Amino acid sequence: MTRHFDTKSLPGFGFITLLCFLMLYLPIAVLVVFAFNAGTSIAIWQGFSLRWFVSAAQNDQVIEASIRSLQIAVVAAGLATVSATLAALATTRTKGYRGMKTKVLLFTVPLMVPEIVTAVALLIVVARLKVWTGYTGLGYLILSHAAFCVPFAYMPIRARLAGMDSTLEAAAMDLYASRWQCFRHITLPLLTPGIIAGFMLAFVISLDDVVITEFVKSAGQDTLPTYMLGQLRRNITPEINAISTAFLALSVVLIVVFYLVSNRKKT
Amino acid sequence: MLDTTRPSEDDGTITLSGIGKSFGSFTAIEHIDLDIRGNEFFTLLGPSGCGKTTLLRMLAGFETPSRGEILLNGRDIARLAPNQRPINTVFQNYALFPHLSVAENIGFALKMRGKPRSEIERTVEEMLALVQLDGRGGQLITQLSGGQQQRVALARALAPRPAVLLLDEPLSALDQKLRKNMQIELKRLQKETGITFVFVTHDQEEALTMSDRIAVLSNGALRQVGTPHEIYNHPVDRFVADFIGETNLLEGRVVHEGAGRVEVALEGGVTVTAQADRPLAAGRAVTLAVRPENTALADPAPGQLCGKIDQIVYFGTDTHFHLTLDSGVPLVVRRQNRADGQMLPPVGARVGVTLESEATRILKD
Repeated sequence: MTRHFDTKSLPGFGFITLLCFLMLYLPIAVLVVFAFNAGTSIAIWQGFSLRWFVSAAQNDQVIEASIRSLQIAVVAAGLATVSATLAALATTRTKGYRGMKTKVLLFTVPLMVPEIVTAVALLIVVARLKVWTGYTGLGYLILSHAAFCVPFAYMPIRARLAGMDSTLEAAAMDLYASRWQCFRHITLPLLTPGIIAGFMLAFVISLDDVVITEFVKSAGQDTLPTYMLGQLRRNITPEINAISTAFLALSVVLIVVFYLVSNRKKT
Repeated sequence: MLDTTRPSEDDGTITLSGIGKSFGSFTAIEHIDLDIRGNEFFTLLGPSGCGKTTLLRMLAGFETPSRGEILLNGRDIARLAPNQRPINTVFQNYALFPHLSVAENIGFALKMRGKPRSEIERTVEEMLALVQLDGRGGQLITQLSGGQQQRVALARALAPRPAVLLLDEPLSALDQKLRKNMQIELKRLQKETGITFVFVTHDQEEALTMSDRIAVLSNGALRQVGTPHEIYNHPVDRFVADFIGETNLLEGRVVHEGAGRVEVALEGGVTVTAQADRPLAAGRAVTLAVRPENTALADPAPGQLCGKIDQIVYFGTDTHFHLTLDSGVPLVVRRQNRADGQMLPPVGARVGVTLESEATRILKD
């Protein structure tokens, strides 16, 4: 195909590509390597050891923060996925109505709002609520996470719904299915990969969040990322690398599952 | 059989009266009155955009008519939802459920109606046998060929024993050979089940082969309803004559007043005999329709239609001669090929043409 412009033929293409990959992955590679350092430095290699993984696993604060992170992520991603599924159905499976496009926009725009703005806004609201209600539990963090995860869950679910052959639902109705039966036996099973993908995305986004959590959390509500941020302000040991590496491993597993699910044959 | 609650006189008769459908300012169907008899293979035939699919969607319940009534066995169903009508559809793309097995697809309607498992299983087996897919119930839809998927779609729509089966160009995705087989197959299924089939197609050959009766549509209006023989041999107007098969159209004026056999003077002064189904006054301008197979080549002679051969197309069973008559009008002559290898006139030759007067018809204008 000679008539197509081929970027690969540009001078320096290989070099720039290599540079990009190095910038993306070299720091992570270094971080992972020093997680296995036997010494206390994160920059000077002193031999291989798993001591920092052991140390992290025995650190009560790390364990507590990890459990809290998982609790928040599971519940928030669950709430976000249910909301996003309903939203996706309401914006694809109805006859076009006034304001539908606006609604689609309102669901996706939060992706582009600077996170710090959302964080400050939530801080103000939550601070007020804490005073009024006296409740200071994890609920605020869960609801906040659920809120900013909705657009992430919404996108793959909506894409799946929009790509689904709508004559399948017509066929189900033609074959005496009620609206509910049609949803239960046709739409939902075909939508499941999209829902799983949406949940995983929301889960990872919640698990990883620092900015909003930092603003909204009450005292003693550190999640794993905010705990790590706190540790960086003090003395840095390869324990941080070990936690990051474990975190990375979890993310990789989730991404692989996400990839497998979203690429499962649609027909 | 399966649905014993259905009284025997309810044989799937459909009456459309004053049906119309508009989408905003666009009128898809103007005004249609049509009777579809019980247990017949009825075809809605027309070019794309003629309104046949809209009509089918209204029968299925996916569209609500803007005007008029749809009576099924005498009951108005025009405003019922698709799941409230004893009418099932075979979709153009089959719309088989990809996450269900062949058997689950076929049993879907019965399951939705809450039939017991034993009855569903029995019906699925019967349906698999009916469409000659015995033993394939456990397979996935994606494991089947296009022709097999087509059969599953048929079985799925027939399983609940609807009063009427709608078929939306179901053969268009199949290759030529499979298509011919399925045409015969569909006809057999219709006879065996005794269910009214309403078949939508733009393929006139398909329509002629399978139908008991055909309705020809164009621009959202009915042009003619009749048996394939009537539609082919007695087209009422220029559109039908032109759309169904190949037709030569010739303009002329009535020489002598009369009905039945009428003398018509064509452009260019030649007089031919044609069939009229109504009295026509002398001097009246008329259009004649004659099929290529009802014409023949002859030696050129005075007082006879004459023309020059522009093109000769060989079709195996026959040969088509494309002529330009002396009056400038194009005409196609079809000649059956014979084994004796008789000498044929070459391209460019001047030839005479005779028209079979019994097959030369004056169209309604």
